[in-house]
Amino acid sequence: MAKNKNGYKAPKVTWKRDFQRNWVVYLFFVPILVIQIIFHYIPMFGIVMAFENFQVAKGFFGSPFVGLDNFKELFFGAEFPNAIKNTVLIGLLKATIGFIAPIIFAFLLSLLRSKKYKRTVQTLSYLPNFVAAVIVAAILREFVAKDGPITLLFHNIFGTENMNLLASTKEPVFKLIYLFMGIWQSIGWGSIMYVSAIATVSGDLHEAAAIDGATRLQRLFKITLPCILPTIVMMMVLNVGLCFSVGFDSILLLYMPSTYPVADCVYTYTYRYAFGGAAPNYGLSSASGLFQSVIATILLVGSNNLSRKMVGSSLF
Amino acid sequence: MKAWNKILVAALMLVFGAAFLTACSGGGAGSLSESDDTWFTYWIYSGPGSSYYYEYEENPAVMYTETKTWGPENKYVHIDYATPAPGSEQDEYQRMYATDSLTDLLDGVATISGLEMYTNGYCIDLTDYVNQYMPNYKKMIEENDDLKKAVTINVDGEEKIVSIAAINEKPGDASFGFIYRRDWLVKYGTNPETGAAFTGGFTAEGDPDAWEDDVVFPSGETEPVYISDWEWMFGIYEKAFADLNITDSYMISMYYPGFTWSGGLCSSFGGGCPSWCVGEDGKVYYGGVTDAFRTYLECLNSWYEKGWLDPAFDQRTADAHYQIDQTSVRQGLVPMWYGVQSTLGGRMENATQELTKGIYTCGARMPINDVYGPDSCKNVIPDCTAAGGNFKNGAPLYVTKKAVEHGKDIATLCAYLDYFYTEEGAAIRSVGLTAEQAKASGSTFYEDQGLTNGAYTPSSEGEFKFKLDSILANDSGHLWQACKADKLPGYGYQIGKSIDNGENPNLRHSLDAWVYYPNIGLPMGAPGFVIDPEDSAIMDPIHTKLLNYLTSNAVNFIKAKGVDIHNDQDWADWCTMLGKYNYQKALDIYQPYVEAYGYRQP
Repeated sequence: MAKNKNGYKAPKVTWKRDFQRNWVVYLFFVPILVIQIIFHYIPMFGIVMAFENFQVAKGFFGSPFVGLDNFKELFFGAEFPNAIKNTVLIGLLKATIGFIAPIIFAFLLSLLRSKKYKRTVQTLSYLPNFVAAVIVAAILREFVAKDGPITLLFHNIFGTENMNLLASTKEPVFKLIYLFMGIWQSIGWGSIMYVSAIATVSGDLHEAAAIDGATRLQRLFKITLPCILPTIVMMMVLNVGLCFSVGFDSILLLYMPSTYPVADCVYTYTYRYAFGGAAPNYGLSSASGLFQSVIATILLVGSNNLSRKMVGSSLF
Repeated sequence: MKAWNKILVAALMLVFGAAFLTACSGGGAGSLSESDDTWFTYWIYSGPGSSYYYEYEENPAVMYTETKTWGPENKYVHIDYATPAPGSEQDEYQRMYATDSLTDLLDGVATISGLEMYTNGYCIDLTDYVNQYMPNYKKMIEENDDLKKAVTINVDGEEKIVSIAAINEKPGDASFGFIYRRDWLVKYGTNPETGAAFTGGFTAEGDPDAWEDDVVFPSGETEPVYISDWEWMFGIYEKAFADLNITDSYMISMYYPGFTWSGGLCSSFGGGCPSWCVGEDGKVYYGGVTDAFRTYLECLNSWYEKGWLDPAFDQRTADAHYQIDQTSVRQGLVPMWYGVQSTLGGRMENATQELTKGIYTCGARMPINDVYGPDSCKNVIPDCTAAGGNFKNGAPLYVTKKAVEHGKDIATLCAYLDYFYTEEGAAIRSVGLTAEQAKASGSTFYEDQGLTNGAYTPSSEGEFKFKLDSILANDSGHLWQACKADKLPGYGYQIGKSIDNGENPNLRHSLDAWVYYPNIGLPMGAPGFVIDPEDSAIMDPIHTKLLNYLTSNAVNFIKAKGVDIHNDQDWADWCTMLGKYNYQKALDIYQPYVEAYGYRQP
């Protein structure tokens, strides 16, 4: 039986008793449970497609079983190693620069004194999150086209080649464009959690530190950062789990055959081979999805354990 | 928590639960059909569009046919049309199979083959119904071999009719094709034989197709026929560029991989395309490793080196193959492109774009190579046209097992559908209603649209049977489509054959140029040409891998990036690499199908 710090035993509450007392709370949970089961657990049966030559007309039970053939086709494709390499590199960039950017932005917002200005900046920073990837990609294409403003800026200031930057096969041009497009789109939305966490930091601590002569920057690093560390760790754990789910739609919209060597990721590779032909290959795409889910789960659990050991805080 | 709070929460949960379960029930396309045995549900791939009405049941031509009785028992027929939201067609289609909620009738546009439909028990055998209740359709099948192949399957040596397909009196027009700027030829060109300047121009104000000139090409024709004609044009366009001080343009662009896998320009260099093709000898071959494809790449490489080919074509991945670099095209900077009907004639003129002033464009045939490569690749008729097939029949309609399970009167349905293969029914389906029919339909649609004389008046001018009303002839939207019942299968009259829409002969000439050469080298897509799923499962991944390799690497030959199309070793490496994808295996599978279908038999 669990004991609290003072040595008191917590009274044993049976599930039945708890249900009788809080049945409304349980009732609230029912729709969530139903949705989870219907939309998240039952569809998991679709994993079976990864082991079949799935045909719509024959369904799950009529399609021929092919064992690991779909995985073999996925892993032994000539372009798969390149796709993995790009996925890992882009994932790392997202997990580092892409992860830090909203934190820095939240810190900067917390330093603003004018509330009106802060709110305006915050609201403006959220807007790109609601713009569809296809529109963002279209805008970006214009900006980095041969005569686009960003291209001309780099050309005139740094003397870079005047060309469509998205067509560049030099590392890490495409990856950086993709990364900064993502940052621009999600920095405001991604900072919400941090802004909220910063808002919960006690003003007394700041006041005491200020009286002791701490500068704003010192207070930021010595008070704010330690206080929101659990939030940062939680977000990091989630991010690491998802970092290799590299944005399929954005890359698909931005890349071109000549930039496959630097831009192709597992999602786009799978898309081309599974849906780029005469008939969709559901087996291959399911195998790829399963592979990426397994990797994401391993990363999620790994990063959670790591954070628990290193900073004593974890998601689960 | 207070009692009333609990009651409120419980009520909310109840409402939520009810709404959720209702949403999950999937509506039930079949529920209405259970009430009457001649009340059918029909899933159609695309709806009428929201410009005129939301439900196809509101189509006046459909409404007219539902005022009449059909079949041996003189019953009324009503069809509920279920249309998926645009973009969700495939999902919706697969959902119907996955949840066993097929409608009574199914549009074959998105379906699997007739053989699969039948062997999997999704559709029923219509042979007896056709023989008994569809004399007009039966006659069409007997008279048209393509239609017969499309709707008939062979099960254990027995021929069965499993679908009802539309058939047109001629292949339809292509929606797009090569377009070249003819006004610049008149302005900057000279007769290749005499050296005399060309003359010509618009002959009537306000008509974008009223044009006359005396342009003659090096081939002696009045339109470009050979690659040498095209290159002669490019030479003239260079003069135009110099005169108009155009420095940042090109003569022609290309779809971003550098080719279209289903044919198009690459077929002009000896025939075929980088896919499974059928040669004149009836043998299947893979077109990506042929001399013809190499010659095509050689030509594009030459055009690229000369600055004729769009230098950034491979970067225009967001552009559809028939709308490449629209900005430059609309500005009048590009003299030749692969485009749509709305850019033909003088329709491109735009007061805000100086270079489009006085523009006149024409549709071009696929060219015949007479310049590049070995003799075997010269003067060969293109046989794989990406612009479309050469088929007269449309998508089939299937009667599903659900119609039988629901106890529907299929005999009456067949009698109803057979009407659309009669002269009167075909006119309703493909032209529209007469004034009397429109009145009898019970719909005010025709009246509301100002079609007081109906969709057409009878015509006896030349081959024409119908003179289309000027409102429909001049409508640039989908009004005509909203007036006729072309979602139902039947016989179809066509513009340029039986229907006179008052179009200028110049426009007709351009449209005919796009389908000048029939698509006879690419069986894929031919009506009724079906590969068994087991064989498709082997062939499709091979095709996908080949296509991916081509998409990534063909551009290197065109732009001479690391490889040289003139270098035999580079070409041998290309062929070796493609050979690793085992296309021979796919060809071996494909050959018996082609022979059984009788495709391009010598």
